[in-house]
Amino acid sequence: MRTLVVLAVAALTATLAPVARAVDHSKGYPGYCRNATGVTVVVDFQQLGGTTIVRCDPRPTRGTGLDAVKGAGFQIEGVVRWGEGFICRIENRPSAVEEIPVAGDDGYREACRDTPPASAYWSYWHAGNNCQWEYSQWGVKNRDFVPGGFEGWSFSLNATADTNPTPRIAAVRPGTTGQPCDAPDEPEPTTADPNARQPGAAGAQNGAGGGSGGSTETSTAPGRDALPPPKPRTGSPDRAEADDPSGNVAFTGGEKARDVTEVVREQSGASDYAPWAAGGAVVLLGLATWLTARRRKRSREA
Amino acid sequence: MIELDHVSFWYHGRESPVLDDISLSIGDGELVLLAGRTGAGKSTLLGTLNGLVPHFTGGHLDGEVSVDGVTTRSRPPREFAHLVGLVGQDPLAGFVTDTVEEELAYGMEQLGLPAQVMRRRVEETLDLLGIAELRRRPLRALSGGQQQRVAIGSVLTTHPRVLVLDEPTSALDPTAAEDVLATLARLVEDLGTTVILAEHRMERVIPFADRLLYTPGDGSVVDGPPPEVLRDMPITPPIVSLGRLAGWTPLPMTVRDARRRAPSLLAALAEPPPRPPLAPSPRLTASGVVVRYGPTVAVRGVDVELHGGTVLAMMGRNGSGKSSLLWALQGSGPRQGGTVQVAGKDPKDLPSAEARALVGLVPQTASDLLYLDTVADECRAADTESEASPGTCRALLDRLTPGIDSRAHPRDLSEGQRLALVLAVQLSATPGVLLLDEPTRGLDYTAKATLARIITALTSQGRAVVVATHDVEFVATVADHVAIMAEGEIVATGPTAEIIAGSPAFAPQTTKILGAPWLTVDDVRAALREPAR
Amino acid sequence: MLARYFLPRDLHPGAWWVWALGLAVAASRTTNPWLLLTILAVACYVVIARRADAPWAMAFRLYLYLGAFIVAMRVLFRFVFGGAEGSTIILALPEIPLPAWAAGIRLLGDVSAESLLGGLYDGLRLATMVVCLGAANALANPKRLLKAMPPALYEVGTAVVVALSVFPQLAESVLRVRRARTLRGGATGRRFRALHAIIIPVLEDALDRSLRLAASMDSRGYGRAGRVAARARLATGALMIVGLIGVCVGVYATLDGSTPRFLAAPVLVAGLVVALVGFRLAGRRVHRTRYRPDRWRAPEIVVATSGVAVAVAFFATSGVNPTNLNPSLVVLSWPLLSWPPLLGAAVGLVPAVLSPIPEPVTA
Repeated sequence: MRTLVVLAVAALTATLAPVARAVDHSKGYPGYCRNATGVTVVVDFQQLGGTTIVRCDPRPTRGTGLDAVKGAGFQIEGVVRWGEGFICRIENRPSAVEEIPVAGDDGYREACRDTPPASAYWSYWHAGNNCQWEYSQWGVKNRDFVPGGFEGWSFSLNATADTNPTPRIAAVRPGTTGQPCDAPDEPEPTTADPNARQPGAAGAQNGAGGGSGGSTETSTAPGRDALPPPKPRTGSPDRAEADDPSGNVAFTGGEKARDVTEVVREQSGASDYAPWAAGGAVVLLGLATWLTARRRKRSREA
Repeated sequence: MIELDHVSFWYHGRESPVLDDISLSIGDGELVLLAGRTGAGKSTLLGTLNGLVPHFTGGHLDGEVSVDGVTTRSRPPREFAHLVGLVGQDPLAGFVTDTVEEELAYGMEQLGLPAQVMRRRVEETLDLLGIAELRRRPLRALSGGQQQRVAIGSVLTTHPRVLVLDEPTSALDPTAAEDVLATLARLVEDLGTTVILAEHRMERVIPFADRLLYTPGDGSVVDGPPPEVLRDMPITPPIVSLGRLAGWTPLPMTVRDARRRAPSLLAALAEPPPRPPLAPSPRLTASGVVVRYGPTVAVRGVDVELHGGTVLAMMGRNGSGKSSLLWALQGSGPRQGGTVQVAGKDPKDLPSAEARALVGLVPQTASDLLYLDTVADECRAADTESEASPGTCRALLDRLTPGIDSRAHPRDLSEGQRLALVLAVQLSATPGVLLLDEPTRGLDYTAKATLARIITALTSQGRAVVVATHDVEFVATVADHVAIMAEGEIVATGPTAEIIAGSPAFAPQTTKILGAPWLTVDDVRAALREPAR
Repeated sequence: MLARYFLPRDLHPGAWWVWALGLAVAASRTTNPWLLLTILAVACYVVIARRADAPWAMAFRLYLYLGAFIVAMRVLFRFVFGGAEGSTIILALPEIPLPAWAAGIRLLGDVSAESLLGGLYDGLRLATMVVCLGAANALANPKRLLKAMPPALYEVGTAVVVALSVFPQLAESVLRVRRARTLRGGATGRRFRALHAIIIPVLEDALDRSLRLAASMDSRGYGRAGRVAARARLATGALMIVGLIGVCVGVYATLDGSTPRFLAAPVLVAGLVVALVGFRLAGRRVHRTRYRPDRWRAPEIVVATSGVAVAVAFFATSGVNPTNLNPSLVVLSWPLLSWPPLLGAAVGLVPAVLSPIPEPVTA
């Protein structure tokens, strides 16, 4: 009972609270991280269109890739089936009304119900400072970020396992150009278990760690539904040097990004009164049902 | 119409044939009564008429059976559906659909009749059988008599030339039975249908029958007009036994005929033998018994006293609460109010093993209690359950009905034998009170006589026996006291002679012919001053 | 003419089934609780307003209980097995540590509002579909539906009808035999003995009854369809089976968004056509007629169309405004709703007004 009350209050305050701006500006700050604490998160929309966003999550404690991208202020959405274990929208891209030219289905729309197809999804990269981008072998909840390093998100459209596009920002913090790449070795996953954690990372003690997703079916291995485990990168040992920072595309810190909730609301064409009308209709119908049932019961017994 | 030409039938693996070289010819528009002991081949003979025997039941059939020129050898029973309508013993088991109207139309649907014809015939049949207001009722909610009429209607809609009925009134109370038989008589009169009817309680049908077929049990059939065949039949309704006793010729077939000859017999009779008075030792006392099933009240505050050495008969139409009362008295059925005392205890409070040692009950479907493979196994189980010495049950069974094979499967026994087995099982616990719920259903005259003898033996041991039944003749033979129930209350109770002699529906044939104090033919026989004939 | 339209009668069961299936298909497209609750309320009202007074129609509340159970179980699962997906933590329960082999499963721990709501929406969708099917069962007599099947499937329909009536008989048999057991002293002996003592008489009884029923049906002409050549029977049987498989595949492909498009509409239509051809061919050889068959008249068409309209409305809005159909749980807020799907759901209310009341059952 108390839970319901809390829930109702939370829902109410959420609607009444000042609307959060897209890119939660209370979390993280725009631009690269200034020092080796925290992690820089790069989001490259690639063919979706839109300016790349770079923000820093300054947290001094350890955290997973999911903590990093949320801590940097990005607003993400996971699939209904796996929860936030698989991210399908960042900053509401690709949105529910957006049509993506996937090979074989020109008007494909991402409904975020199940795992996105391998031809249109957000690929997850990471790199130590001054290192080459590496395609992550672990899921976003199953590995810790590299302090002082980079977390990268790049939208992969119609690419194969070997040709996923890397983020077009070099993983180099300003002022550290020329330093050697210093990232710890990340052992590869040995099983296909979505809940296995990267060894060496701190175990899952508190809640936000590598728990099961929001659904009950996570005890089955991803199998047919998830992406095939990524092939190990050939010929690129993880100690390669980073790209030249002068090849970066234009980026912003997301200061002027539009409010996600408002965008979603606009896209959906939702009306403010429709929920009230629905609620009223349900109450009215319930009342009518009860009255009709009573009347028919009386006439039946008469 | 129907020709049987040297017909013999036997089941595979059996030595003796069920039907042995039978030749019969039944004409158009006759009402034929088929009588004989249980297991003597009545049902088999009826089955040959539409081909169920041998196509459905298996076995080997010699000779020819032809209906309206078509022989049953060549075609399966479904090809005879437009010629022969067969109504089985249990109408509810033969219903295919849910409601009355659909059941009536089912046969016509299978024959492929056009829709307009079907609708007209359904309306006609509803009127003919007087069930027009029942047309939308679900079949399970009908009373026994209504179900039987619907079953007859469902085969009538196809306008068959022959109507075959296997014991149509066995489960009905007297009034419903009269209804059904009157309907059948009217069918024969008005529609000219040939009706062939197998019935144990012949007394109701004999007035209407044109011919009587009797199967003695050796595979043959005795055929002729009823007075001739009845003269020599070993089992007869009371009116015929009375006629034979008094030497009337020709034998009277109806009560009216017999009553015209009655004064001469009455003059020769002495006082009727008195029935023994009530023994003043109540074995079971029940007061204010109330039984409810949800909102329905089955028994409303009934008081009963059962004395040792007497037989109480409970009569009343179906649904008047007889079964509920018996179950409540035994202690296994629900009882929402009132008290029952047997030997100082209330059977409801005792565990069932002890309760059955005080009050034994034989339910309506006696075979519900039997679940083992042989008679010997059942007896052994009964001995264990009753904590009696081994062999008690078998000894009881031999005394009740001798000659039952220990290795026989209980389901292979005849109705009477099965009833005897269940009685032995229940009696092995030596209860002081025995309750029998509709024991006479499906029994022929001989089996009923055996049962009457068993009950008399039990009462001579000092037990109290209650029999719930419709069968007036049986009550007249065996009961000392009668209680009539209606709507959960006992409306009349008293000595047998008082209760059943007065009302026309409940009077046995002897009373209808000779008047009040005479209940059975045995009474008359005992009272004759000089021996008859 | 209007009076004739509203004459009290029982509609063709197919009309109610099409209506209910339309609502169920619409409910399967969305997890928006407003829409689901509206569909639920619409179904309940139409059932109460238009169901017959027969016993088979009174079982509707069982479906409501089943729906509530489904919702409760889904929320409970989220509660126990996976709570902290969102940022609004309602309850901070201690997590129960599990041994290493169950490392992926998490018991209790923090419970967040978003995950509970996710479970609620999911369960509500399934519950709504179950209630829609229950509505079809309550509005259309199942036995009349079996009667309305094409002549080619008559034998199957009869078998199902007979099987449906076996269960109440079995239940009654079991009760009777159990009562009789107490007369023999109750449960003395091992459990197996006691079970044996109930099952054997019940099965014997059931066998007896079924034999008697078979004899009765045989005597009344069941199966009198006449001789059909074996090859013709084989051909029509094959056509029907292939057609039904095609229909199954097509329906699955239509409802599941992720299968290739060529499997959806073309296969569905082709399967339907093949199955119908098979039915017609098989039915032509059957010489059975129907007594008072249900007909498709104007009210049936209206009812069926309203159900189809609801489904079409939801399919259409999913192409235009997909966000409303699947509200996101990223930021905890009231789910958004636009007018088109809501009005589409309201169309399902038409049968409550524009159809005749059922035939009154005389006591």
